[in-house]
Amino acid sequence: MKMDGDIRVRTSKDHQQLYNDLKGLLVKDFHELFFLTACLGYCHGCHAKLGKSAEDRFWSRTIAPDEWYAYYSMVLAKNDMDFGAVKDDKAVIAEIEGYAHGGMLFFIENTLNGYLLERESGLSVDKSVSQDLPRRVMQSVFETAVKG
Amino acid sequence: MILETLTINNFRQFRGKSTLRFAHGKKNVTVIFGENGRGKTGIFRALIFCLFGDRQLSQDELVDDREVHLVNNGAMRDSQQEKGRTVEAGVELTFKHNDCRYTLRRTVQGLWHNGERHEEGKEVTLSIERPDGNCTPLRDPESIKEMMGLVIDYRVREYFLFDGEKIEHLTRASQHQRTEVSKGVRNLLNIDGLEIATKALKHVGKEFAKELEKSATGELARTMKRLNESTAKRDTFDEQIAALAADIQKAEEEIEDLEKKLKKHRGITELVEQRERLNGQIRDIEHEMQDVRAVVRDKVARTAILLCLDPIRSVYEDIEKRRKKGEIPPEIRQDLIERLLSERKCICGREIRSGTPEHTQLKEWLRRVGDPELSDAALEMWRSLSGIISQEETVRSNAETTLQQFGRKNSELERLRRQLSTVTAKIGEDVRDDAIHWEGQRKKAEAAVRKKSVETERLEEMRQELDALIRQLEAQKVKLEKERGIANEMSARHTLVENARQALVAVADAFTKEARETIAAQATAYFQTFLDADSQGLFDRIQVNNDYSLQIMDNHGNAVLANISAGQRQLMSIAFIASLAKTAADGDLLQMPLFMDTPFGRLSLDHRLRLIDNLPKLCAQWILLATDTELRRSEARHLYESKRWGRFYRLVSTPGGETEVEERSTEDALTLIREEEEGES
Repeated sequence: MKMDGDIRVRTSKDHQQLYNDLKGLLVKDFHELFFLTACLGYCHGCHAKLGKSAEDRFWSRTIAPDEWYAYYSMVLAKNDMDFGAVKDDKAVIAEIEGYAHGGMLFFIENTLNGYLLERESGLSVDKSVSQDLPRRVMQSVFETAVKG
Repeated sequence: MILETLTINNFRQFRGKSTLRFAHGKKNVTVIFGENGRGKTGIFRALIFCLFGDRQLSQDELVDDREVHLVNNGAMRDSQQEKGRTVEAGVELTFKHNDCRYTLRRTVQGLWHNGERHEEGKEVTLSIERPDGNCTPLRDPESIKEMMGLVIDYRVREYFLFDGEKIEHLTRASQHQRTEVSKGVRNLLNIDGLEIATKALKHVGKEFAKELEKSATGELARTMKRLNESTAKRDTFDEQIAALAADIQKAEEEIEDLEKKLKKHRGITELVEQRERLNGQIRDIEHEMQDVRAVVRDKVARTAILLCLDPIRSVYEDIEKRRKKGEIPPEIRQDLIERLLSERKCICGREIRSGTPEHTQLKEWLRRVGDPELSDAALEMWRSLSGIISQEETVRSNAETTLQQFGRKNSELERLRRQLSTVTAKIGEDVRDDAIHWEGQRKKAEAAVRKKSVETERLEEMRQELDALIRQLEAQKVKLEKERGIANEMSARHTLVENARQALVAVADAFTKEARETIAAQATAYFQTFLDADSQGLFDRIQVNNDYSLQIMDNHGNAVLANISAGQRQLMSIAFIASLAKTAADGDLLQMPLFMDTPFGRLSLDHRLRLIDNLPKLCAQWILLATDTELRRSEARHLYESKRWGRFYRLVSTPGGETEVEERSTEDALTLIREEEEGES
């Protein structure tokens, strides 16, 4: 629980283009998109292993303290409040990467669908229709949080 | 011309054939009655179409000719089922003129081609039956046009066949219209013959003058030469002035035409301005939306924390519980417990053996204390989670506000875009460029009118000087002839012709002036009878200007046309028409119908009743196309009691949305026409 800043946070390489496209459009930085997808993954019970598709995306030093506490809380809740489970930040991040990946898949399926184009480099945002995307995402997050 | 029947077939709202017979003689009033949209103007249009072949009425000036459909829509719809089938529509008018019966028939054919509706004129025929029973059929459109021109001059058609609400335009027609009408009126008054005779005499006089010049010698020859040269020069001036007048008229026509287009465009100008305003508003909202989007982008990750509030609360509550139990931070230091366990001694010095309750208690304490670093971190986490939880409401409310803000802006943007789309559709393509071009052309034409008017004035001044010189030379010629005792036949003829020409000009001038004065005096008298008691004392006289435009003077000699009401202008125009008709008929009733669409729209009840009392006596035939708001029971009763009401037609709508003509007795009319509603006058 030291909020280790030297960890390489990984996401699927299939989502590299998506991360690039959504930075600036939906979020200010990668760690925010990672947080958003991790929260979605946790909230909807979507956890997926990255497996061979894992690719370093950003340094953990960019993760905000509140985000870290949210990650610790998710891991603690999953491990019956065993603080031993959050002693190692690498393990925490590894666990959260699973939520972020599952959350991203859920996000693509349920929210980004209709705003995306399939390219050789992977999924990318269709800029011609992306104007309304931030509102749509915020609306969806808000409604999920309110209605459960 | 006295109208007898009008038969319409598949024309406008009227499916199939319908015939109207017009009253004339002692009971000379026909009323065609119908609510708005029933086809009264369709009947007026049928008459104008039949007489002149015009598809458009003056009120259609802003409508494209192709947009005016004459063939009945229902018949056209039915024909759509059968490929290549055409629908014939037509109008037949019978009327009497100078003891002959005329039957004029004009047809139009409608068809569908490539899904588009087309209409084209088919044929026009005229049959003239003379009193002896002989009949002359005409099929050539030009001959028919010529023949009809003898019956009713196209230029004055609107004096007899008009829209009551529009007739007041006689009082404020454009220069070009006034010139045209002036020609028509002169024709109606038979002044044209005098002008033709004057021109002929002028031509003969010139020929004589040329001969005289050839035979003259010495100073007389020089005088004659100068006289002929001056006369030729004056003719050149006249030609130049006439050419300039034609140019001015052409330019004025162009201005009129451009103004019509611009008038149509003026509405569009407003739309273009509206579009610009909307575009500006849309740009502003889009900028504001960019800002809101930036806010959303800044807040979306923060909002996501709402999704994991459950584990955050659980962890917070767990630490809180542990904190309350004294586990975090540990109430007993870890190193003290470890020392007591290793020394197996209590702080009081008592021995602690393994397996005793004291030993077990110390072991349990050690387990609960756990990692001190982790304990510190948990405590720090507890504080932070407390902060996160306390901000939940703020995050939620911020998100809600931002979304509402976004929603409002978005709705506003959509509303503006919808408006923009409607306005853009109304504007059409390239209209703005066209309007700029038209405006430029209009300015050019106006500049040309000004330039040519100045040139005309200059030429007229020079012509007047030349006129004085010619008079001087003519006097000199007469003097020289007298001095030299020259009295040949040629000279006498020349003098005679010139004197005759001058006399004719004087007669024409005197006749025109007298005719105008007679028309004005008569129009004033009629106008006073049409006016209600309150208005009668306000006006002194109607003045007919040289170009037959009208003016009205008050009791103090002021021109007050611009300040009278539209209803008064309408009465004034009708008084002028009635007066013109009487003057043209040399005091008798001119055998022309007054065919009036919306006759009473602008008039008060008192004015309506006065018109009903007087107009049937002033014209040979009065045909009214009236709505239920114009001809109510009080007007109908008044008309009935005047004993001038001959025929009554009602336009009735069919379930299919078309119109049928139904003839009813004038007695029936009194029950069919509604009473005025309370407060209506």
